[in-house]
Amino acid sequence: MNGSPEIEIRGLSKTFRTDRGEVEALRNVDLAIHSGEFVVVVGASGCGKTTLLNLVAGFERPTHGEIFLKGEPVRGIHPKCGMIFQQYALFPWKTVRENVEFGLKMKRVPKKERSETAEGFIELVGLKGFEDSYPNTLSGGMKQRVSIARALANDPRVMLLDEPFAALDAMTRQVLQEQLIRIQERQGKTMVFITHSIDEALLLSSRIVIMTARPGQISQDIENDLPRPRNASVQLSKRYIELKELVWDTVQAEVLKSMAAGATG
Amino acid sequence: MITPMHKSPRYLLISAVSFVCMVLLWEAICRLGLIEPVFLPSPSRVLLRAIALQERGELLIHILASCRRVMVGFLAAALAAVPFGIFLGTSRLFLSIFDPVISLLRPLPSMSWIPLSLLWLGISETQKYSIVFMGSFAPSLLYVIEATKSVDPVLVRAAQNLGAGRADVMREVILPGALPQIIAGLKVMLGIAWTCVISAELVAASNGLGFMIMNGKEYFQTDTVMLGMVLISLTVMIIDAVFKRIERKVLPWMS
Amino acid sequence: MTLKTPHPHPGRCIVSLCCTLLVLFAAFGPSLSVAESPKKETVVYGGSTWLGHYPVWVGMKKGYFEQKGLDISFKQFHASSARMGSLLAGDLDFASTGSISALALMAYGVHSFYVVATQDSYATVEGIIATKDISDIRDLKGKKIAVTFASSSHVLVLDALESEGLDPGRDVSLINLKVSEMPAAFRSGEVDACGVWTPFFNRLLAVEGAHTLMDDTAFSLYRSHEIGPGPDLLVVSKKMPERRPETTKAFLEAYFQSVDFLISDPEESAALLVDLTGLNLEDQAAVLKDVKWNDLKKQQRMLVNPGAFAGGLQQLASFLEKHGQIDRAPHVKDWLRPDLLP
Repeated sequence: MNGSPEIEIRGLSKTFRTDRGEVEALRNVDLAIHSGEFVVVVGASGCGKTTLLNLVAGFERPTHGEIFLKGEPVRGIHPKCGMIFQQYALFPWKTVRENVEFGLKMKRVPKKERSETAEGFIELVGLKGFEDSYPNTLSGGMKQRVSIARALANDPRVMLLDEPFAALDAMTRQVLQEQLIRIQERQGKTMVFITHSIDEALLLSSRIVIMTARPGQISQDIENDLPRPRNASVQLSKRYIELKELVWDTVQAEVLKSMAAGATG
Repeated sequence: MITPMHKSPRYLLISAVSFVCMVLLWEAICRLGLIEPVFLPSPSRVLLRAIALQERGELLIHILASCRRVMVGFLAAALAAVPFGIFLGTSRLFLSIFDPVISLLRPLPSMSWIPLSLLWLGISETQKYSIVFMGSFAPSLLYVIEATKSVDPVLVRAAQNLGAGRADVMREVILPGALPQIIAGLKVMLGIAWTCVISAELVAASNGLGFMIMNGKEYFQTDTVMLGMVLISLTVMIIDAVFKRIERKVLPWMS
Repeated sequence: MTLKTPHPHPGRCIVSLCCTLLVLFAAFGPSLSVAESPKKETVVYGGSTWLGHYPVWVGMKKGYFEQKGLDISFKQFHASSARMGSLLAGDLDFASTGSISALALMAYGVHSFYVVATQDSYATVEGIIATKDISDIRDLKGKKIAVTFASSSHVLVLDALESEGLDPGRDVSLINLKVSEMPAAFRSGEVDACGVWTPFFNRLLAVEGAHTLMDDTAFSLYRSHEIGPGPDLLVVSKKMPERRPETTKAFLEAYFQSVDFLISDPEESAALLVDLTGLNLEDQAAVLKDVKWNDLKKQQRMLVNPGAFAGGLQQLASFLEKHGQIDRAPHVKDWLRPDLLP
């Protein structure tokens, strides 16, 4: 591991100008994420979690502060971090294979090579046999797996996941969570995962970052030292319940704050 | 044809029976002398006119002349409108520059271009093409701009996140993303192109279905007029069916 | 819609009444304003600025129709076909039309009108005007000729080409243009010749290098039957003599009184006509000089079968059939009613 962290966020603030005036989404956020970490960001809705990811991906420009990836500042949209969107964002006119190949095609990788790479990742997410299907014939869970394969095929150092499993049913979510853990262990990617589910955070993370209500600030940064694999017995352990209480208390306080703000605003 | 759903054999059967009944009823009304032929010629009379014109070798000339004008004018309009529309749909600056011109051109009926086009292009086929072009370009352009704007911005972000440059986004995301709406718009425009060609053929034309209708009117040959109308309907239906084929080929993910 | 409302608000009622009146006025105003006196019989006449309608206009101006207790509603149509369409729809009582339209209707089996007169002859102001380098009909080979399809000039051009053995479909290209569009097309060199009639005939002649290649007097039927390619016909709706015989008779009496006046006093006629045609007095007088009017006595001679005109019209019908302009030549005499003449 070399000296500079995978992601370094310094004094980051973001204010949006809307029709109803200015909205301060993030205020003075400092965060360093190291290689191989699985960081889950939790917080009440509207706390700026998604904004944080969009800033890291370069979709938005910060109002103040800077973001560095391995010491290099983010100056615009870049392919260094693979983004997984809540609404999958698959290209409906491309087959599963063509979707997964997309990043490689952009790198002008020869057709044969990218097809082989894509097949490997399609197999990794368990979609062998669906290579030539169009996304609209797939279920939500399958779509999100295509999306993950697409990001992985591009081989980014970091994966940014914006509530990727929020729209899925409980069973599918569990399967995908386990698959994601396996992938992370095997590929050693740095993960930044956003959710509002505390259980999901405890299950996946190596570290949990809790954000305050708007304007988003970091309120807690907790090391998740639960043993892996985080099976049913871990989920019933004392440490799990302690951590859950700790996270829950912080999040609840922020939720109440944001509700109060909503009532007055 | 109307496409509300997949047409079951039952649906088609009822449609066929209704069509036959309609024609028979029409024929009966004319045969009974309820309406003078100059006001409404019978279907058989229209058919006889078709045969007579075919024998004189004129029928195909009229059909092909109009089809060629529609195709040339419409294709030129579409070929110009699609890239330009995508460009404007993705550039607020250029959209704001061209907005006034497009807004002014759009409401103009193709008929209104006839005098100027005659001055600029003379009595020529190019002048006919230009009428179809002017009648269909501005509306097509608006369809394309709207289609382009309707592409989900998340898809653009996703593509850029995977390393797509500006040209890649255009080719890989905006164009295919807007294509279903562009094709839907062009289908509407093709119908409008047919109304344009009829107006183009009102002046200084010596062939075409529009000319056939107008000349039929001059000679009070209502059957010729009717025949021209029927032929326009049939031609547009055939072209529509071809269009649907193409659509299925170009948009395989839509089915 | 507003009238059906059971208890409309009084204010709204007045507004809607005003609106209704306005709409009615807009729709019928022009004819209502002429038809104020209830005693008069209204006769609806379909005309235009063409010289064939001069007798009705002059008769209106001179009060000939009024003297007969008639009130003329003069409706303008720029194409014979539109005028005849209106006659078919039952909107007109009398009209004058080019014979092509009338023959086309006869050929289609329409019996709802009669031909009562042919009021004029204008053989020297209709013809083919061409550029300098075309000195003969044969020189038209490979050239562009502008004609208004389904007009008398169209027939003239077809006849001229045929007489020199040229195929109108192959040897020349006929371009369908309105006469009003011909001067511009001719001047810009887009067409090499035009089949045209007065007043555009004279206007085209004024173009540098233009000359008359032929006029109606060279038309084959003119030489044999003294009938131009599209003589004007005075037609009457079939229901007129059936339902209003007195009015029909009165109209025709006044009409030929008018024709007599056109013959006897062309100067005053010209002055009366400028209101209709918008020409200046000089041009108007020139147009009148080129027209030969057929008075009542001459009508009787021309129309009664086997008069020269009746035969000529029948020949014209055959000519149209031969050129594929109409399907089958009608028996023209079935439509001729010289017996209606006073």
